[in-house]
Amino acid sequence: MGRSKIVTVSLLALALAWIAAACAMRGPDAVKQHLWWSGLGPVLPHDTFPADCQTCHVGSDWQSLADDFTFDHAAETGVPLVGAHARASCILCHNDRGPAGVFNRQGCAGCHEDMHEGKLGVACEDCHQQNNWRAFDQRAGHAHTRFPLIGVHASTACQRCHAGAEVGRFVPTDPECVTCHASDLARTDNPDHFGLGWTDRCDRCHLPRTWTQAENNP
Amino acid sequence: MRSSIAITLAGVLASAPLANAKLPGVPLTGLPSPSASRATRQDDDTQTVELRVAAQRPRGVLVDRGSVDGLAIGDRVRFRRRAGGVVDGRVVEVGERNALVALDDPAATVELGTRGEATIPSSRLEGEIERIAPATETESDEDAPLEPATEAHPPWTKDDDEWQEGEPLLARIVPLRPDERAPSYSGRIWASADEITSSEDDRTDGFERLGASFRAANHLGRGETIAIDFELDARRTDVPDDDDDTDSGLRIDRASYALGDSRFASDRVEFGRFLQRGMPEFGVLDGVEWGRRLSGGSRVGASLGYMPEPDRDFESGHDFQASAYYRWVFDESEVCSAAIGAQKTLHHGDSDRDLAIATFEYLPADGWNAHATAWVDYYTSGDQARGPGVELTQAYVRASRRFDGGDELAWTYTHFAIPDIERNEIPELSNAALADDRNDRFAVDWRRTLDDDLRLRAEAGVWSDEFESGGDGELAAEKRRLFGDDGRGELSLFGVSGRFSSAYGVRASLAKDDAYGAWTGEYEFAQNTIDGFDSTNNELPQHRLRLGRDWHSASGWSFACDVEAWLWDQETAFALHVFLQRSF
Repeated sequence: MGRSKIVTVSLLALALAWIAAACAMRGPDAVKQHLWWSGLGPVLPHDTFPADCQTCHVGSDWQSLADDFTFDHAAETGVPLVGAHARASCILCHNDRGPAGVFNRQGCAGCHEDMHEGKLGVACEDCHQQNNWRAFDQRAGHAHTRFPLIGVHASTACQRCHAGAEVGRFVPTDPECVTCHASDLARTDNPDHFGLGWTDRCDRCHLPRTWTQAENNP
Repeated sequence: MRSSIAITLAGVLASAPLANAKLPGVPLTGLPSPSASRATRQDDDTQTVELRVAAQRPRGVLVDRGSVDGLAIGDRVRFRRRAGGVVDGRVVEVGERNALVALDDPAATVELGTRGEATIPSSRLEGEIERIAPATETESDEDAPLEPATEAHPPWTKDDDEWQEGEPLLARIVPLRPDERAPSYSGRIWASADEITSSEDDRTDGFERLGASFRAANHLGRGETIAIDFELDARRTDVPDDDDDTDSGLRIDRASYALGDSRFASDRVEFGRFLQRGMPEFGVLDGVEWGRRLSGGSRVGASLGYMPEPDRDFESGHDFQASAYYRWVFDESEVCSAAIGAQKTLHHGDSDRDLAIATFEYLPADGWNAHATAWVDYYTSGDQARGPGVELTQAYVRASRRFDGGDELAWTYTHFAIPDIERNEIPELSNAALADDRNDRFAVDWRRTLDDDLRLRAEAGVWSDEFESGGDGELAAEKRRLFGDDGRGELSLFGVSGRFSSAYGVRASLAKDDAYGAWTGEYEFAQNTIDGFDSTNNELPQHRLRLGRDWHSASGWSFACDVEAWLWDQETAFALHVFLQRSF
C-alpha cells in the first residue's frame, strides 16, 4: 500500500471518528438560545420593553423565557441577524465585554478575530458567508485582481499558490510565473530551460491552457 | 398629601432592584427609605425587616436588604417558601444594600423571589427615622382623615453618579463577578474535503482537513478564557510526470489562557499561542501579551515571544518579536479610534524587521465610515534590497457612505510591497525584484437598492504594479423573490485587464432557500485573451458551472457540498467540496 493510500485510509478513519465525536456532543440546543445566563445580569437595556415582565419571562428566576418568545432583532434594534447569527445564543454578543452596540459598529471585527491580521481589509462579507464562515466563490473574486484565473489556474487549489492559505494568509503572492513554478522550471530538460537561459518571462511561450503546453509565439 | 405621595414612591423604590436609583425628575431628598416602609416595629425591642431572595450563592442566598435597612451580621432570617414551610438562616455578610444569608440547613433550597423577614433590634434604626410633617396645612386637610404616620429617611448623602435622566432602573443592576458565575464551554469541530481532478493527464489534487476549536470560559472562576484550536491537514497532488506530492500534519493554531479585560478588570493578559489582541497586525505569537484599558476606553499594551511562520506548519522558534501599541478612542463608544504600534523582530537572533503600524477608524452607525491601516518598515544599511530608509510596505484604506434606503458607496485603496525581511514569510525573490515589487489598487463599489426585491451593484477598480497597469469592472443586478418567495438570483457582467491576460464575461447565479438551508447554482462564461500571442492562439473561452447545497440545523450541525466544473479549450476539470461542522 502506497503512502498516499495510507494517508487516505487514515484520514477516512479519522473523519469517521470525528463525526462520531460530533454526534456524541451536545449541541447548542442544550443551552436554549434565549435562556439567559444569570451570571451576567440583565445587560440588555429593557427601556423599550413592555412593562409586563411576563410577556417574555416565565418562572421566578428571570432566566427562563416563554416558549413562544420571539424577538425581531432587526425590527427592534435595526440590526438583522443573518445566517448563524440568528441561531446563536444572545450571550455570545450581549455579555460583559461591553455594550453590544459598540461592537456592532465595528462590524465583524467587533466579535470575530481577524485571522488575516488586517491584511485583507474589513469587508469580510466579500468573501465569507454567514452560515458557517466558509469562504465562497473566491475564483470569481480573483477577477478583481491583476491575476484573473484562467485555464488551469482556475481549477487549482488555493494553497498551491498561497502557501499560507490554511492559516488565512493570502499575501504576499508575487504573480510572476516562477514564483509558483520554480520546481517545474528546475526539472524541465526538453529543452533545457536553464541551459538556454529561459528562466523568466515564461508567458512568452507558455499558455495557461495546460500545464505543459508551449506555443510557438512569433 | 405629600406624605402619601412619598409613601407610594418609597414603595416603588423598595420594590425596584436598584434601591438607591432616583426617579426621573423627582429629588430623593426627604423621601422615606426602603427600611422605613419595610421595617415593622414588632415590640419595644425588635423590628421585622421584610426582604426577598435576589440571587443564589454557593454559601447561601443573597437578599435585597443590607446595612442601610438595619441588617447586621448574625441577624436571624426566616424565609417563607411559596410551596409552604419555612427555612431559617443567619446573616453572614452585609453589604450596603444586600446581605448574604447562610441557611441553617445547607441542603435546603430557597427559590429566587422567596419572601422572608429578619428580626433586628429597634435601636439600630433609632435616631435615623424622622416623621415627615405635612408641608402645609389647609382647611381641606383639617377635614381629611389622618394619614398613617410615615417614617422619613434623613437626606440622601450619596449621589448616584452613574444614573442619568430617563434611564430605566434596570439598566444599572450590579452584575455578578466572575467568581460568582458558572463556567461555560463552547466550540466546534469540523471536517472538510476538497478534491479536484482535471483531464490533463488525470491530475488530481486533494486537501482534507479535520479541525476542532474549544473555548472554556470561567472554568477556574476567574473570568478567564482557555482556547484551543487545532487542525489536521492532509494534501495530495498527483502529477503524472513527477513524484506525487503528499503531505500531512497537525497544526496547533491556538492554545492560550487569557485573563481580564472585562468590566471588572482593566488589565488583560494572554499567554500561549494566540493571535495578538491589541494589534492583530503583529500576527500570531508564542508568548505573552499584556494590555490595559485606560480611563476613557483607550488602551495600551505590549507583547513578547516567538512568531510562528505563517504557513501550514506554523513552525516556531525562528523569529522573536517584541511589540507595543497604544490605541486611542475618542470616547467609550469607540466610534472614532486611532492606534500606533511598533514591532521589532529577530531572525535566528539577528536583527530583522523594524515595523510600525498605524490604524484609524471612524465607525458611526450611519453615514460615513472610514478605516485605514498602514504598515511602515524602517530599513537600515544592512537591508540590501531596499537600502536604508522608511517605506510604506502595505496600506489599506476604505471609506464608505451609507444612504437611507440601503444604498452604499465605498472607496478602497490598497498598496502592497514585499518587505525586505529574513523571516520565512515571502517567496524567494531576487534583490532587484524585491526592490521594485509593488501593487496599488483603487476601487469603487456602489450598491443601489431600487426596491425591496431589486438591487444593483457596480464595482470598478484600477491597479498598477512595477511593470504594468490595468483594471476591472463588474455590473450586477440582484433580484429577490425570484421563482418564489425564497428564490433569489444575480446576473452580472464583468471585465478585467490583468497582468498576463484580459477577459470579459457574464455570470448568473440562482439560490433557493428553504427551512434547512439553500440550494445554489452558478454559471460563468469568460472570454479570455492572453497577452503576447497573436489572434491564432490568444483566445481562451472558459465555462464554469457550480452547484451547491447548504444545510444547517438548530442543533448545531452544518453541512455544505459544492460540485464545480470547468471547461476550456480541450480540457475539463471537476471539483468536489464537502464541509461538515458541529457546533456545541
